[in-house]
Amino acid sequence: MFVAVVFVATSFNFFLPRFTGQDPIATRLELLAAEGVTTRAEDYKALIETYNAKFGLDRPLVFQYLTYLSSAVRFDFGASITKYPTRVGELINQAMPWSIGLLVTSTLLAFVVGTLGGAVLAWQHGPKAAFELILPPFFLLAAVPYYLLGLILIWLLAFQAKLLPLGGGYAPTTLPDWSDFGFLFEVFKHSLLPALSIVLASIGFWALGMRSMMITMQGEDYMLQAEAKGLTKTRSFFRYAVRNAVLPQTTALALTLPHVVSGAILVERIFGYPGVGRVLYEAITGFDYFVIQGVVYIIVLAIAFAMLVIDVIYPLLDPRISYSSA
Amino acid sequence: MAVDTTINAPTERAQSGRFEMPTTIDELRRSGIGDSPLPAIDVNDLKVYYDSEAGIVKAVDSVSFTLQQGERLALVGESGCGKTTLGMALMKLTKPPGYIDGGEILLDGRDLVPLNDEEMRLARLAEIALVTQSAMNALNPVMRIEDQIFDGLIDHGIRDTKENLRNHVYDLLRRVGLRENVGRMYPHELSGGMKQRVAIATGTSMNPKVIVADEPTSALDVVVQRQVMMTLSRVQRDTGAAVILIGHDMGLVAQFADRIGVMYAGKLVDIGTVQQIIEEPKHPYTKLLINSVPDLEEKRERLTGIPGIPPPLVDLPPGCVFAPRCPSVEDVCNELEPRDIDIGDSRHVMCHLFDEDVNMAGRGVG
Repeated sequence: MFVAVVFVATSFNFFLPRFTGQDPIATRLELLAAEGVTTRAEDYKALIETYNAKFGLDRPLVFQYLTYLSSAVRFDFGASITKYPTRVGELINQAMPWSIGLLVTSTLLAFVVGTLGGAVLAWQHGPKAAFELILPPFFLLAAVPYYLLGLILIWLLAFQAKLLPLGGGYAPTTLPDWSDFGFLFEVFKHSLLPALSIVLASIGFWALGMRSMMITMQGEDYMLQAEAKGLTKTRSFFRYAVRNAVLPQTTALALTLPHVVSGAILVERIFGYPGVGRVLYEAITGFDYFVIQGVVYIIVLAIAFAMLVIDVIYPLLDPRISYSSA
Repeated sequence: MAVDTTINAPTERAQSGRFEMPTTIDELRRSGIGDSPLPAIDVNDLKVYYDSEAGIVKAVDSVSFTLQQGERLALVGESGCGKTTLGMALMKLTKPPGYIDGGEILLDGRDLVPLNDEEMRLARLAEIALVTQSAMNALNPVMRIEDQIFDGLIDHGIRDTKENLRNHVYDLLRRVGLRENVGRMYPHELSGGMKQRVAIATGTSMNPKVIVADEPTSALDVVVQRQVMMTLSRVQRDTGAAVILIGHDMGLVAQFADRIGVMYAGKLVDIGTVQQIIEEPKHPYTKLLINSVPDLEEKRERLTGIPGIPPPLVDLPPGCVFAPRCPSVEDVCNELEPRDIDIGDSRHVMCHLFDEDVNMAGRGVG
């Protein structure tokens, strides 16, 4: 199953960029020309041929496809066309920690805060009033695209108030040194705005989902029974209502997390954040087949892997699902 | 927080007049039903109303009855007559827009109505327990059976070793005819009858004085219904708890109960022993109800139903609520509300036919 999903998705990944009919090498040379690198017409033709041969793009499509499959298995996608001679793997490796660090943290934070907030909002006995004031603005924000929110935040906090940097992963004047505390703080400062835009935009999404699940759960007979058993409110809230309402939320989270790998393309683009999303964006604009293939392949693997993990851990969360008796 | 409770517990108890609570399984086992001279539950003039757009719905209107320690009372009546509302009100589980408008629920002499949320929480399960209508879904699907029983014990201040707790649960399960290993199972692994037994085991886990069993067999087939009723019967004898059985199946409740209370449109119109109710029904509604039950020994051409439908509870007729459907109706019934008449042998009927002060031509028919 896992292998089948990965294979089909990987094949799509090979053919889709090629159906666009764009010539990556020509695009590359046009870019160079735009930058002022001029070539004579006959050299231009020779150049394209040389490049095509170099990247194997002159060979039959079937042959290219087989090469691609074997490279996917070896996790080696060759060199980038636009950033030659940098290897695709190297590009992804550099960008990955940035994306994972930013997006895993903000996604998990939004999930925890949103889910708990939504749960309390639906709970009849809880400190509702406070949450009724705090959460509805987040429902509103859930309807605002996070990149738009990002732009507003940049304008407000970075451009007007000058509290936080405008963008980037760290200040262009500093050298990356992960053992330096000052540098780490700078990275943190730069990640605040993109993280904030993701968290603000998705808390409402988690809260709304949780709230409606909680309302359904509270109509269940076991909630009445929990009250008739004289359970404390805390216990019936967490172990009876939340425990059951969180199950669909967990599925949604597991399906959201793999996208972390691809990075929130738009957020990274807006904030100039050096993550995988930016790598993919640049690859697509430059028709860099090999980088697109590499990034998408990693995403496919991550999603398939996440689905596998859900399948494995779900019986632990919900005893009604079991593979032995099914 | 734990420290706090231990220090404050005795004084708090003395001050607020909370129920005495056992703190270990051993104490719990010895706590059983004492020989209190007071009735197990004494309900006086209980009113449960619902606010609706059409007006106030009097779902339970001035109901009074007394249940001695270890007694078994069945409440019967048509759908919507207020029997479940009454059962929920006894647990103080009435949900908005419903509310208890007045009356007393004296449980072993202590009134539940004025208790605050926390006091009432502690009284539930320990003093008065509920076995619900649809035990099929009354269990948390993601928790083991034993954990669900532990929860109730722990939240009532039982602090004991896992082993003692578990042994207690095993005893409870055995008492309702289940094997010990059911404790380690999840609800979806049990049949309907087993779940209902678990509900009974849970309800009796703290030796309550009163068990409210709200149609405990309604979702089961007849064979299992009988088994569950026998289990409830046995557990009731073992624990000595008083039981209020809510049901609409006259035949089933008659086998179980000592007394039957007949409800109509939110009022308890007739109450007496099973024999009294079945052999000499007094209230015209009870008579019609008894006549609608098939009799195996007697040959009857047709079963008689009761013509008409119960009145809307928002807009009750001024006199007797049953007057519009009553075969013995007279003019006074449409004007004067009948009183609760004690006709001896702890039998009460709410009908002018038995009221000495009301002039009824039809007296002597009943």
